[in-house]
Amino acid sequence: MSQRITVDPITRIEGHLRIDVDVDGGQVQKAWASSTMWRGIEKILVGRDPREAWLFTQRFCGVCTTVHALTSVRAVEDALNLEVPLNAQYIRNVIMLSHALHDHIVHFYQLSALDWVDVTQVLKADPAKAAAIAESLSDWPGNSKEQMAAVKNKVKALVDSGQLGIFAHGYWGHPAMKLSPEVNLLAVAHYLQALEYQRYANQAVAMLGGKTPHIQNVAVGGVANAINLDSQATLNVDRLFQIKAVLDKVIPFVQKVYFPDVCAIAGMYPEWFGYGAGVTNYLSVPDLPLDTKSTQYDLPGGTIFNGDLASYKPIQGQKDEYWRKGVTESSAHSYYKGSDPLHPFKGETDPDFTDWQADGKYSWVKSPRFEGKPMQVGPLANVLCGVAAGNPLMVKWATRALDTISAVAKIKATPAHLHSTLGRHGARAIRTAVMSELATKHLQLLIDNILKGDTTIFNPPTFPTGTIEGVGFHEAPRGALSHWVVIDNGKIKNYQAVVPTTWNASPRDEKGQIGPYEAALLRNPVANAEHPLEVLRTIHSFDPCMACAVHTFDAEGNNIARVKVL
Amino acid sequence: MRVAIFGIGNVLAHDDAVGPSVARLLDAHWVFPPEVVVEDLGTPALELPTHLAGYDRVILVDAVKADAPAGTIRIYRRDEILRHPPGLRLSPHDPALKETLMLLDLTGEAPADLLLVGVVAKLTEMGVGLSDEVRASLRPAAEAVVAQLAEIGFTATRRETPRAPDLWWQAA
Repeated sequence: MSQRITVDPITRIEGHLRIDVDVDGGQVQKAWASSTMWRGIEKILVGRDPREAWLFTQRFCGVCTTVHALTSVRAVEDALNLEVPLNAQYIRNVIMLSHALHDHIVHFYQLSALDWVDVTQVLKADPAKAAAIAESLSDWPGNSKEQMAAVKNKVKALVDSGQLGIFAHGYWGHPAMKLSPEVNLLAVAHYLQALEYQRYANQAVAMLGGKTPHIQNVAVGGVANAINLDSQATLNVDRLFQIKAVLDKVIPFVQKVYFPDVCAIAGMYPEWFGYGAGVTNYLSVPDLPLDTKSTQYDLPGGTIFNGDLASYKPIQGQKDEYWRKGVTESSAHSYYKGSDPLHPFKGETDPDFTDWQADGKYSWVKSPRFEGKPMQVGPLANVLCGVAAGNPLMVKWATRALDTISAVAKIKATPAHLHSTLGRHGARAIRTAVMSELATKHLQLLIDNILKGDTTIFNPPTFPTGTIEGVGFHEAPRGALSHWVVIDNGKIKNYQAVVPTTWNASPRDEKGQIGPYEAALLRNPVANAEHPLEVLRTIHSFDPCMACAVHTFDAEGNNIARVKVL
Repeated sequence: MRVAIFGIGNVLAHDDAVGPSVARLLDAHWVFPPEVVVEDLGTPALELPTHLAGYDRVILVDAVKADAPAGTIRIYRRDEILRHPPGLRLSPHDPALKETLMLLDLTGEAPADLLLVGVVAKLTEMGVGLSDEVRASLRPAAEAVVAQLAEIGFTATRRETPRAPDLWWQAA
C-alpha cells in the first residue's frame, strides 16, 4: 500500500521547501517539490534605476548575495553593450571564485555531510586508525592521531552532557548510515576544521567586496575598487598579496581535505551512484570572462541532453541566440496566473494562489525549461559540460575523483556514475578543486594587468531613450543563474531572475514533465517513513536554496521542518 | 571587551527589515564607544557564525514570531534561544540563530553573552516598507538596545544633530 510522506516547513513560517513523496514497496513512486513562499522580488524592481538593481538583487537571498549582485550588473551591461575594464572583470572573477570556495566547503561539511556521517559512531573510533586512513588520502597536516583523539573527546563530552547541541537533529543510528567509526571520526574532525577554512575564502571576498554579505564594490560598468599602487587607501600590491595569503590557506584545504573526503565517503556508499539521477539534461553557463566584451570565458558552459556527453552544445556567451532564445518559464502548476510558457523578457509574476493540489497548482516556484525541456543545473552540469568541452582543469580533477572513488569502492567509476545523488557531491568537489586553481590564476591575471600600468576600473553607463533588453548570467554555486532586464527610458520595465533552484526545484510544466528534484527522488529507497533520511540525501545533494527571504526566530520553538506520514 | 550590535533581516521582506532599520537608526542618532560595533548585517545566513565569533557581547535586532501583537518588543536571552532543540532542516540553508550559537559553542567561540531584541512582525512576505505597527516600534527598539548596552557598562550618547538613517531600499 502506498504511503504519502510530507516533509514540510512548519506552517507558521512562510516559505521554504516542501517535499511530498508516495512510497510503495520501500521506494519512492511519485514526488512533488514545492515552495510555499511567493518570490515577488521582481515587482520591487519595476520603475527603479537599473544602476541600483544590484543593491536590491543581492538582498534577495541570505545565501547567494554576491552572485545576484554580479549577475545584475552583467544584465544591465549587456543591455547597454557596455564594455567592462579588464581589472573589473578580474576583480569580479576573484570575488566569484572565493565566494564559491566558501560556499561549497560549507555546503558539504556543515549542510550535508551529516546525511552520510553518524556523529554518535565517533565514540567507537580508534584515533590512530582514523589518522592512518587520513594519511592514506592526503598529506594534510591536520590529521594526526592526537588531533583525532581531541575531536573524539570533544564529541564524547557532548554526548556525556546529554546535549548533542548542533548535532541533535541527525538521524543517528539510521540503517542507511554505513561508515566505519574511524571514517566518521575523520569526517567530524574535518567538519570542525572546515568552519575555520571557509572563513579564509570569505575574507578574500570581503577584502575586495568591502564586506560580506552584501558586497559594496560593484557598479554597472565596472567596480569601485580604486587602484593606485602608491596609495595605502586603495587596491595596491600589499593588499593584493594579503588576498593571496588568505587564498593560500584555503586552497590546500580544498585539495587535501574536502576533495579526498568526498571521494572517499562516496566510495563507501557505492549504491548511491545508482540513485538520484533524475533529469539528465544539463544546463551550465560559461563564466570567468577574460576580455572586456565578455566574449571569451575561462570556464565553458552549454547543454547536454539525455546524459549523453556527445550531445554537448556550447553556449558562447550572453549574446548567443541559442541561450537567449532557449529559456522559457511555465506557470501551469505554479501559483501564478497564466499557463503558457513565457520568455523571461515577457515574464509575469502575478500570483494566483490555490491550495496544494497534486494534479493542479502546488508551488510558488515556476518551471523554467530550455527548448521546452527540464534541465538540471549545478556543479554536476558545470563539470559534465567542462569535461565534454575538454577543459583541461575539469578533465584533470574529474579523472582524479573517479580514480579515487574507484580505488575506495573497488569499482570502475566512470563519468556515467556521476548521474546520481553522490555524483552531485562528487562534481561539487571537482568544481571546487578546479576553482581553487583558478582563484590563484585570476588573482595573478589582475596583478599582472595592474603592473602593466592599467588602472581603469569603470566605464560609465549612459542610458538611451526607448527600450533595451539585457541578460546577465553567472555559473553560481548552485548552478546557472540569469537575470533578464527590460529597460525603458532609463528605468526598469521588467526584471526576471531565473535562479538555479528554480530550475532544479521546478514543479511539473504544462506538458506534465516533472522537475529535477522530483525526478531524482523516484525509486529512491526509504527504509523508515518516519525518518526519510534517503529523501534528504537526494534533496541535499542539489544544495537547495529556497529560504531566500524570511529567517525569523520563532519564539514558540516550532521546528523548522517536520515529517508527516499519511 | 568587544561588543557588537547587529541588525539582521531582509530589507525587501517588509517587517523583516526591522533589524537593518534599527541598526541604521542607532548609527544615525547615537554615538557609540570605540569598543562597540553597530552594523546592518542584512541576511548573513551561513556567515552568521563568522560574524558573531570573537565578540564578548552581542546584541541582535531581528523580527520575531511570537504570540503577541505586531510591533511588540521582546528581549530573548541566550538560554531562551537555546531552549528548544534544533529542528530537522529540509533546505540546509534555513539560517538559524540557535544553530549558530550551538556551532560556536562547539568551537569555543561563542560570545559570553548574547541577547536578541525581537520585534514581532506583521508582514514578512516580499515587498518594501514596514507595517505601521513595526514602524512605530523602531525608536523604542533602538532605545531598548541602548538600555541593554548600558546594562553591560557601555554608554551611547545621542548625537546633537542626528542624521536621517540611510534606508536606501525605501526610496523610489
